[in-house]
Amino acid sequence: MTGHPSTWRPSTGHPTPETLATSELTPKEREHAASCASCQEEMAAWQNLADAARTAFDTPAPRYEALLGRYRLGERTPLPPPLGLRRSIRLVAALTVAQCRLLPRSLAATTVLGLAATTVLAAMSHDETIGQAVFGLGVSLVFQLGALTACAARTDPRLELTTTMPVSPAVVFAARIVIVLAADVLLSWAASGLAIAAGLPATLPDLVAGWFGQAMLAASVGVVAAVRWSPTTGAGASAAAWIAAVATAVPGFGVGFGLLERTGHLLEPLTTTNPLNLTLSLALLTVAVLTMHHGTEPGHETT
Amino acid sequence: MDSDDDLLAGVARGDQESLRALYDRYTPGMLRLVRRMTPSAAVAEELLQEAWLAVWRSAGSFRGESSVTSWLYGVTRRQALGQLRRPQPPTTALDETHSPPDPGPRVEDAAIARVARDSLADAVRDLPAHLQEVVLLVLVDDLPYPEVAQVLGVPVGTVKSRMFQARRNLAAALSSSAADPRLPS
Repeated sequence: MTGHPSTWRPSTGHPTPETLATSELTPKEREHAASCASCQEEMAAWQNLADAARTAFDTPAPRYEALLGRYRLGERTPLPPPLGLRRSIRLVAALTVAQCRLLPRSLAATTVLGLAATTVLAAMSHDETIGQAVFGLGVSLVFQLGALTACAARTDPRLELTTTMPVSPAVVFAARIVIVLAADVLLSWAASGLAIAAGLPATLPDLVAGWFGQAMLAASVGVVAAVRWSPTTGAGASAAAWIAAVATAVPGFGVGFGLLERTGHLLEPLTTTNPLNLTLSLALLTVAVLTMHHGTEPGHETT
Repeated sequence: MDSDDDLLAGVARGDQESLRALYDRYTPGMLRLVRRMTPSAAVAEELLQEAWLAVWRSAGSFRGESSVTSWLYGVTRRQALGQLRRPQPPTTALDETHSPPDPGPRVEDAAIARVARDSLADAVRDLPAHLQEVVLLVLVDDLPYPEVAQVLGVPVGTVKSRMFQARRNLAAALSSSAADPRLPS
């Protein structure tokens, strides 16, 4: 067939059912249908079905005035005046307190336990490079746990509250992520000090630089994937970022396996603390917040 | 006559006459959509009202990536699901994920083409809701399959599969009612 091959049934030479159902025939299809008894029968079946369906659900629609007349739609509600500095600070404080209360309590316990285990493991290592690598990978896992918990909104009924607050859900989400990541940074910083005090041979700036970049990037990748697709996808993306961090942080990883070794070298700028890594993390978190903003509009087009 | 896009742009600017024109064009279809989600006519009207208020509020977010029709139906469906507290993510049965094999012209067509409209309407009312939905969107609201897929949040293959299933169910229902002497023909 020529012209519109996708609208013809390859096996029978008739137009497809959807073409006949919607009666959007090309001239060639119309010419075929005019001389084809089975196509005419199928079109008659669709037409009869359309008429029957219209009859089955024939409900008189209410008049515009009856349904929407009492709303003064023509008058847009004026925007509220900007909050002053004092009211803004009060709002941020209230938002922070509310989000702290809404976070699962088990998250705090799991974070502290994870950091404690990481500190012990790192301190037990007497090699500076291995100790730092172990500490960085452990902290990275803790960051991912916090970030993914913060954006599992669709599975946590407590977070329905965020959609009823007089603040944009995107702002609420941003506050939630910032709270979790800030708490993780502070606790990891403290754990770094403890690990050094417990015998890890490293300086504090080196140790912090060893985990900060890779943990932020892994968490950001997970957050974007979780918000855009699903928490499970977010967990998968985080795991992939963590494995990339393993490939660059563990000395000798992939040696003898050319591809793995080259991959480790390629990913190194992304999994260490540097301006590129931090900019990328910040950009990914911004994308996540913007995605949350678009996804909460009543008329958003992604169904 | 203004195009749908022009009218929606007017709504986004706050023009109530544009809203009224869109209302007159699309309310019957939107009402059919919500009537299948609730047995109560009063609740259906409330859902319809919420849908139009959402359209009024969010017309500015229409980016022209779909047709106005499927955007309006999408807003209506999401609003109704939200109001009914049935946040159903789009689900697709495994056997619906691919387009059905092309069956070619069948005896089912003859049964559906010749049956009395009232009997066929009764059979349509008895279809499962997810099949009714696609039959009405395709045949009554004249939406192309890709737009129906967009409104329902399912793949196009699923729409084809549901149409195929609906036609098969209807033919089966019609032949069994014709064979049952207790039922009126």
